Amino acid sequence: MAKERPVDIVIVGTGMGGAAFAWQMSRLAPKLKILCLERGKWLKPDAMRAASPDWQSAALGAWATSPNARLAAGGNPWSADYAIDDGESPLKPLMWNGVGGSSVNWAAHFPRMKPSDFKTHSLDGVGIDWPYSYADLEPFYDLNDVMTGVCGLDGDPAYPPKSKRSTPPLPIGKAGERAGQAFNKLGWHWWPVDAAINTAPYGGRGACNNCGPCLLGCMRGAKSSCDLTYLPAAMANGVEVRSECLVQRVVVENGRATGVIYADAAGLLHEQPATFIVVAANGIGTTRLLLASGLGRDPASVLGRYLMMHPVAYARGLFDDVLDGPAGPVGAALYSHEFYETDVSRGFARGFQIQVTRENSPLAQALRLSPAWGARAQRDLAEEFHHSMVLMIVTEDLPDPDNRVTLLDKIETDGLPGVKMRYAVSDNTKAMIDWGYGRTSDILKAAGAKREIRAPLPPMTGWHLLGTARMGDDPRRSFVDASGRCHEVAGLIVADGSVMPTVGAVNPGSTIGAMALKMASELAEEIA
Amino acid sequence: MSSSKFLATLVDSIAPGGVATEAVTLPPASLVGCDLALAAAMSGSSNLRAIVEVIAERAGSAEAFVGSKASVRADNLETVQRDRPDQFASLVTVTQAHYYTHPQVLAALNWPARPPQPAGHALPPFDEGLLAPVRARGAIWREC
Repeated sequence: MAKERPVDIVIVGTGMGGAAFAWQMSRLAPKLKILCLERGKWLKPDAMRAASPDWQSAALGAWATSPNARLAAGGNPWSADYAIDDGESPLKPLMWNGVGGSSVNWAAHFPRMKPSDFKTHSLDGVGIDWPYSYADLEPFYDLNDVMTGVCGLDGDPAYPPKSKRSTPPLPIGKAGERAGQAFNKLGWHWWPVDAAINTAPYGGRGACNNCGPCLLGCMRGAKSSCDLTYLPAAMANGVEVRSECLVQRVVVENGRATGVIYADAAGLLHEQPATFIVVAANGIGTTRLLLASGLGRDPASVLGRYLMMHPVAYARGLFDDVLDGPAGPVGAALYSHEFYETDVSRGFARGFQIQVTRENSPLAQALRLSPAWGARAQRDLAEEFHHSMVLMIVTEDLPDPDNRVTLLDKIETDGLPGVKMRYAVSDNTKAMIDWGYGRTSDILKAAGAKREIRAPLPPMTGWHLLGTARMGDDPRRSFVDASGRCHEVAGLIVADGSVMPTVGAVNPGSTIGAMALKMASELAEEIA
Repeated sequence: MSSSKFLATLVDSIAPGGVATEAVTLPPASLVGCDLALAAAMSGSSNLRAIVEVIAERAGSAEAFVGSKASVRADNLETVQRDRPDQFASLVTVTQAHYYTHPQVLAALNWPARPPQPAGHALPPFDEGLLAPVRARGAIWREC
């Protein structure tokens, strides 16, 4: 094994958490030697598929959002995927395992959590309170927005005042306008999304041209993935990013994390000593690495438990007239927070957002039909394609210790133990979806839809892998403290969505970046 | 009976084409080469070869499948789908992947027969005036 020269900080993973942490440390503590290790590669724009005739079928195979689907298709050379046993989870894990992490193939909807999300136990008697408040995180949300480049419109009355967005809001299309008018008719809140997408040149990157399939990666660089935002800025500050370096173990000696063992592209093992080890490999990858390193062995440990994913349910309204089809960023148009907060008369705790998104490609829509073949399927597709409004109920997922990530009793080809996720949709979530479907019917009726098609809990929606190394002040109930420091050993920090004690009903990218900036600030203050 | 006739009939059972709506008339799958795409995919996939064989066996023979009524073929496929859902899904995916990416089919759906980039799509900018009622209502976030 090659022994590398020690560094001050080694960061495992270059997604939103790792990349934001690296940049913030590099500017606040410029003398430190900071190294990022990433198991996958830098994805080049000309390798992406949005300009290729096979773009629709690519999204089902080697360019799918699911690592298991990519592996089944023979793998994607840019994403160093590992198999995840998801047989006991109705929702399947989605991610990207290359430089930039899952910001490479995300939909880039970029909402903040809300003040009440940090106090669900105090306010509503469910979940657990965060060890800090929205106000504590707010300056880091602001900084994260600036670094990422967020389009949108300030002034949303569903949030405390926010700074001016980097670029104007995305076009919402005919379907979005019709949805907005329906919300207005009902007297309900709605607002155009905050999205990590340039609608005008910003940060040295160009503007989105509404091509649609953001999940294939953005060839234009208009979508703000971390390989285009934080990482180049961090590297300009002296941070080293070593790609194709697969971390297999965190080294722990005498109660302190002292480095990592990683395999390079040739399979050669390296020992990388570091004063601080930051792990940011998402709720599954982080847990897998830490468990494989011997952490969380105490049966009472929370490591791996409380997996949360934001279960979603779709409602599609069909219209006689022609709408947008798959034009515009697929995951983002507008949202409503009308039903975000707890109202006990509804029969469930907490709430949900309603997102209005865009249509998928013709092939994706055709294969979603049941059955997906025959004359009836073709009639249904022709009736729906270019004629639908897509509503998505995004639910708050409450922490449950039995939803968890564990290791399998076998070693995978990447040298780490296999990993399994076990997850069940809660009764609270089911009640939320049932009630939410009543509201989507209200919206579609107000919008003039002739028919509604429902798709509750589609499997390929496990984007948000959160909560498995949660933070808190009590070591018996949390894995890390409010600064991301591991309670169990010194020198180890977790800086991704794993640490979120609760997750609100919004996409987590914005919060993950803000948390990582905050953690890095606190570490810099301590050691600089 | 050539296997090409059988494959053409098979893909036409999956995507038969015809008048789908007032505005959309779709071509049959064999007209846009789905049978050839399936044959090519079968050469590299034992799963696909197996499911196609099962369909022929279930009908009695490839000739019998071709010679049967559309409703009988559909019943056959429904049975096979029920018995071997994963393999059948692969067959449908291969066929539909070729079908719904073919320029003639996309044109029939009134959608541009080109990839999304580099041209993208033109959409009008967001009209802030739509938000007047939302703004007028005032703040709704929960102070705590």
